[in-house]
Parts: sequence; structure tokens; C-alpha cells
Amino acid sequence: MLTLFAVGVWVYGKANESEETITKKTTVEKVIEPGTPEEIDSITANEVKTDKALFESVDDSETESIIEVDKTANELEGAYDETAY
Amino acid sequence: MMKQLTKVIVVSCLLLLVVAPRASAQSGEALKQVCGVLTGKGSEALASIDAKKQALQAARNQRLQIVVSRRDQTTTDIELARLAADKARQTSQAKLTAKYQETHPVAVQEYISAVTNAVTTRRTAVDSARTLFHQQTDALRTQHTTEIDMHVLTLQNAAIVAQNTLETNCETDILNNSARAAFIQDLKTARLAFRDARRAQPDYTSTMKEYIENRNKSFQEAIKVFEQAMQTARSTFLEALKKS
Repeated sequence: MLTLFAVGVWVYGKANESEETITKKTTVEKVIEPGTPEEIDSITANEVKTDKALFESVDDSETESIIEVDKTANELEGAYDETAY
Repeated sequence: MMKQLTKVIVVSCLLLLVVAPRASAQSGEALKQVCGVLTGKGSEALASIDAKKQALQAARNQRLQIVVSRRDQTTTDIELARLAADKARQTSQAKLTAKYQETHPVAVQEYISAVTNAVTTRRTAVDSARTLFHQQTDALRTQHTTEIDMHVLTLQNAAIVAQNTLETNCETDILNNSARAAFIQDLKTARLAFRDARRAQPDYTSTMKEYIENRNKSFQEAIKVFEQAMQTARSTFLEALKKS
């Protein structure tokens, strides 16, 4: 009797788990039909995102190439200390 | 009495003739020592300026290499991403064509052509914005570099002049303190002039921000035009499908 009950609980749990997984998959993955304007939109939209991210990824090195060098230039202000002569 | 006085005067004069040159020689010796030390300090200052100038050039070259490398890498990455997008789009378009070739051949071709045009227009626009941004940052970097180099050269020349003046003053036997004071003042003036010139340089951070903002605005505009073109192409195509 107890075994039968345990099997019943396991089957019920497994069934619910499967339903949940299916629901999750349906919610997360938006299925786009191949060979449609929707798919073409998706491809080009991804390209726009990648392009933009890549273009903007150089900003730090570009800025640093101008600004960071100033730190080295500033060191020239302390190249000597004439008050110690 | 007069004889004694004459003797005293003669002896004093003799003593002066003997002692004065010795004193002068001692003073000259001290001046030489001071000048030697100061000349050494001046040489150290010049060497330090030169070393820091070399360090500045090395840092600048290193940064420039990073910029060139990042730009090249980005260009390669963008090309690869676009090739992958082209391939995926062509596959999708081939499927679309196969689906509507029999029933709506003109509509499908017009749609594909409109998409291709929109993609090409957007790519050209963002590439132009990127090229302009690089040209602007290169020009800014060159301007900045030229200004700093000019200030460093002025500092270097002023320190050389200070050193030469010291050597001349030491040779012409000017009093120790005067030569030393003039040397210190010359070096101080040179250092402060360099500092002030550096502080007077424009704020490049804000100019860089402005360039980045302008480029991003161009990107946004290109994306906006692209999205509108894509929407129009899609609507036109779907309308054509409905008609027949």
C-alpha cells in the first residue's frame, strides 16, 4: 500500500515537472519560422547590435591614447628640484 | 716719526701684495668647487629631462600601438560578423524565394532587394561615422602630441641655457652666490613655465566625449533609417502577398 502511494507521488511529481519544463521552453525560446521576413529582421537586428558593440569597444583605447600619456608628460614637471641645488 | 710711518706703509703694502693674491686664489678655488657641483647638478637635470622625454615617447608609442591593434581587431571582427550575417540572411532569403517564387516572384525579389539596400546603406553610414571618428581622434592626438613636444623642447632648451649661463658666470668669476642664484632662478623659471604651459592646454577629455557622442548620434540615425527601411520593405511585401 505504501509502495503504491510512493509510486503515485513520484509519477505525479514527474508529470508536473515535465509540464513546467515545457512551459519554460515555450516562454523562453521564441520560435521563428525559417525563410520569413521575421527571420530576416532577426538576422539584421543582430548584426546591428554586434556592429554597434564592436564600434564602441575601441572608445577606451582611443581616449586613453590621448589622455593617459599626459601622466607621463606631467612627470616632466618634476624632472629636477632646483631648490635642492 | 715720518720714517716710521713710511716703514709701516711700505710693510703694509708688501703684506697686501703677498696676501691679496692668496685670498683671491682661495676665493677662486671655492668658486670652482661650487661651480663644479652646480654644473654636475645641471647635467643631472638635463639627463632627467631627457630620460622623461624618452619615457613619454615610449608611452605614447605603446598607446598608439594599442589603438592601431584594437582598430584592426575591430575591423576584422566586424567583417566576420557581417559575413556570418550575410550568410544567414542569404539562406533565409533563399527559403523565402523558394516559397514565393511561383506565386509572388516580383514581390519577393523587391523585398530582398529592399533589405539588401537597407543593410548596405546602414553599413556605409556607420563605417563613415567610424572613419570620421578615427580621423578626428587622430587629429586630436597629433595636436596634443605636438603641443606637449613643443613645451618639452622649451623646457629642455631653457635648462640648457641655464647650464650655459652658469658656466659663463663661473668663467667670468662672478661671485659664487650670484652664479648659483641665477642658475637656480633660471631652472625654476623653466620648470614653472613648463607647468603653466601644460595647465593651459585644452581639456581633451571633453573633446573626446564630444567626438564619441557625435559618432553615436550618427550610428543612431543610421539605425533609425535602417529600421524604417526594413519595416517599409516588410509591410510592402506582406501587402503584396495579401493582394493576390
